[in-house]
Amino acid sequence: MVALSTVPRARARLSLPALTLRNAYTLVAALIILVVLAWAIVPGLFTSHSPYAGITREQFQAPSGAHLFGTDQFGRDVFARVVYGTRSAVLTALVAVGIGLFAGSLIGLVAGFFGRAVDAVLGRLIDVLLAIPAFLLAVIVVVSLGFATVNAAIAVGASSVAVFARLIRSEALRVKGLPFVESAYLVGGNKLQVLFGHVLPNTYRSVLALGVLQFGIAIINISALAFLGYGSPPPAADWGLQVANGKDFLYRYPWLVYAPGIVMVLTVLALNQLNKSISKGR
Amino acid sequence: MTSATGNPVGQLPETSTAPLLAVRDLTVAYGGDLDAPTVSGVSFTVNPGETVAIVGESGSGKSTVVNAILKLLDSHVAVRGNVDFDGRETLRLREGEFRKLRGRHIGFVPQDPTASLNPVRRIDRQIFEAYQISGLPEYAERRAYHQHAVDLLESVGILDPERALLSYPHQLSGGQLQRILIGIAIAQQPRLIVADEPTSALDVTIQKTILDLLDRLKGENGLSVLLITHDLSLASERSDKVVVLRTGEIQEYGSSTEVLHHPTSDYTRELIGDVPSLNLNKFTATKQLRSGSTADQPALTVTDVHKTFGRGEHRTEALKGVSFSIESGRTHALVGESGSGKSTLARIILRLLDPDAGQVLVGGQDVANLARRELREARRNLQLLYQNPFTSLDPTYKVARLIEEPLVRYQVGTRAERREKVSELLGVVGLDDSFLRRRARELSGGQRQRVAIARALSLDPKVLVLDEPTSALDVIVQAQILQVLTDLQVELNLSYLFISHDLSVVRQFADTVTVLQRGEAKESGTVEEIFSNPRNDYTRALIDSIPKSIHTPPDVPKVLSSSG
Repeated sequence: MVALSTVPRARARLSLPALTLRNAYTLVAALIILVVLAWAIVPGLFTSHSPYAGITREQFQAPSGAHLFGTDQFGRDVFARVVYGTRSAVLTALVAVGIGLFAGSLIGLVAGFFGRAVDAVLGRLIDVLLAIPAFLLAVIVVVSLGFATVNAAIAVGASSVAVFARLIRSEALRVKGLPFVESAYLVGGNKLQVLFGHVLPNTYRSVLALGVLQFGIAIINISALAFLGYGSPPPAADWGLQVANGKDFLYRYPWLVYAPGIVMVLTVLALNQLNKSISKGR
Repeated sequence: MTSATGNPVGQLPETSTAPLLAVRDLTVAYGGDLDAPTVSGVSFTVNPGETVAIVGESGSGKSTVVNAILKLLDSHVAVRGNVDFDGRETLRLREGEFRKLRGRHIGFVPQDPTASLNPVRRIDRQIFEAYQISGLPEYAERRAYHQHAVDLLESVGILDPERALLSYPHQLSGGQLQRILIGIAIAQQPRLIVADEPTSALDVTIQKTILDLLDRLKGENGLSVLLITHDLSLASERSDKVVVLRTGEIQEYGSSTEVLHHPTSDYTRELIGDVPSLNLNKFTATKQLRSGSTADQPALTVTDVHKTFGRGEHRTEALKGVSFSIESGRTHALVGESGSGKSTLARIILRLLDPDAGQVLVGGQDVANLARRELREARRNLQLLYQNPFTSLDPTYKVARLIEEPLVRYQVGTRAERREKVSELLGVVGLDDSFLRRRARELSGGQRQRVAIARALSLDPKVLVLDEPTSALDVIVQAQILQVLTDLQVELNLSYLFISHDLSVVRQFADTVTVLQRGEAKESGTVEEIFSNPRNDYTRALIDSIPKSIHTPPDVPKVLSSSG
């Protein structure tokens, strides 16, 4: 009478570790991001070497206890350069995402909320931006503004405006049809009050998730610009610049490229994982 | 046979025959832990030819019980107990074995017919599929399928079977689709039909015909029916036995007359006291406390309102000259089925839509023709209570901000005064200050609707439009919200425009009523007049659709729900 169906129980046990595995990914991703942020804020805590001063007789040393990622052609510690390069990578990516998020949100919100002619005009603008490959757009912007880290950030930010705008436009369209928005008009709200008081706060969650994802893409794009020489000039410590510099010695001293490359890849993968857990709501 | 459960079991008119379906001590736990079950210790039997109703509010576990019986639960859900169908234990049957029973011996009628048929396949194909699967000898000849299907649709009351067979689901109405689904269910000649809220997605007048059809087929084919419903009056009207469920446990089990007349549990008593059709005079006493209508002019007058949507060939005349008025401090109901134009009219009154022609007078002002700025002022006197409190309150706002928002928009008082007003309003709707800092998503449906009422009242409006304010809520919560609204009318001399499709609630709650059909006012008058002496066929059909409180309970305990 009190017999248990056995099959269901067995499956119930199986589903538990699968769940924790996903949590573990998120945990690892969060740890990686924390380390990267710590590098950016207090690089001096993680390495005693200087990122700029090289010891000539110690050039091209393989990774070892003394030089975690080895040394480059000037005898500079590659690990120190990666750690000190984090700050500019994170900062420029933040600026880029900030620009994309702000401009994109504004365009998307206005287009979705007001609709009709406004949407038609802004919608075509978004289409045009989407039609140009993001990286090409970034190169065009940075070439016309001049080579500098800040300009690279602006360029990458500009290239992500359309992505943000498209998402927020669709979110705004969804939210503005909900009864609580109509209710806000009925209790005396005007368009602007409803837009910023009700529509904007309710589009936040998905925007946040996209922001994290775009942060990773911005890191890649900014490094790519630096690799092509559109970022800060040498001898700055910069991930993209390091890869560009190391490519000349790739065959014999591969760590010059791999060390910053792997750090970059791990950072971006971690950001992707975080984006997933945010948009799934954990 | 069911005595071991310790639940209040009524006197059952047991027959000597073996039950067709016997559920014993059914316990279901979604989390997999049987010590924290969703449904626990449920036992009942369905005898051949009998209708048994499972009644409960949302979250009571009634669908879980059905899914357990039909073995539709996910494999990781833990289940304990016994289900015997026709003398055979089915709960632990393999899926392959049980599939031979499902459909063939146990038919199923779903809640929403429009979602239960494949939208891209013709009706006849979907019926033929059932024939094929059944493996019955009479369906051996594929050539005879068409004639079988025509006969089948005729027997479930489809007027033009040939045309219906060649249609796709979207070309038929919800009522027709439900008839077809019932037809598919009986085509395999099952012995038991499980009907999960078979009418709650349909209009009231159609509900009755569908239930009549089920009753008729049951008689003709000697079926048993297991009916799932949230409506106790409907259950008692249509079934022999009633199982009352609450939070996964049986509150009451017995013959329907027995349960209705001599409920043994407090919960059932409260439920019976709150079902509108059993308590038509529930609010009469409160309503008599209202002051006589003093104002010489009505609070709201609607005159000859017209509205047409679309243009050219696709014109729909939503409103064809509707007029009515509400005396101040009284409730006027607007009744009609979906598509009758009642929501359009409400939106015009609130000027969320512009009418093509006509007047809407509120406090002497014609809202339909006001300029924007004057309209904003006029709306202070005219607020709306939405149907669904789950979508009408911004989920990112806290309760305090939700109620304060109208005051901020109209710049009423200082911040301290507004705060005082907010907590006063919360008290008026029966909530305390601890709710101020909570967000809408942390509240139950009833609490949300109370917050929505407080918000609508914050500007001291004279007229409140109530757009089906309780149709998303359970019976007991509905009774509480209606009580709050009635009390407020006494206290604040509010006038209500009450939009509803539920005639028994209208009978309880309103003073006057207008019946709308296809954009026309069919009948208008006091509630007593219309209900005792309907002059129009449509009105009569609507009134007939109220489940008869057949055995009008002689001494129903008046469990007046406190509004707090």
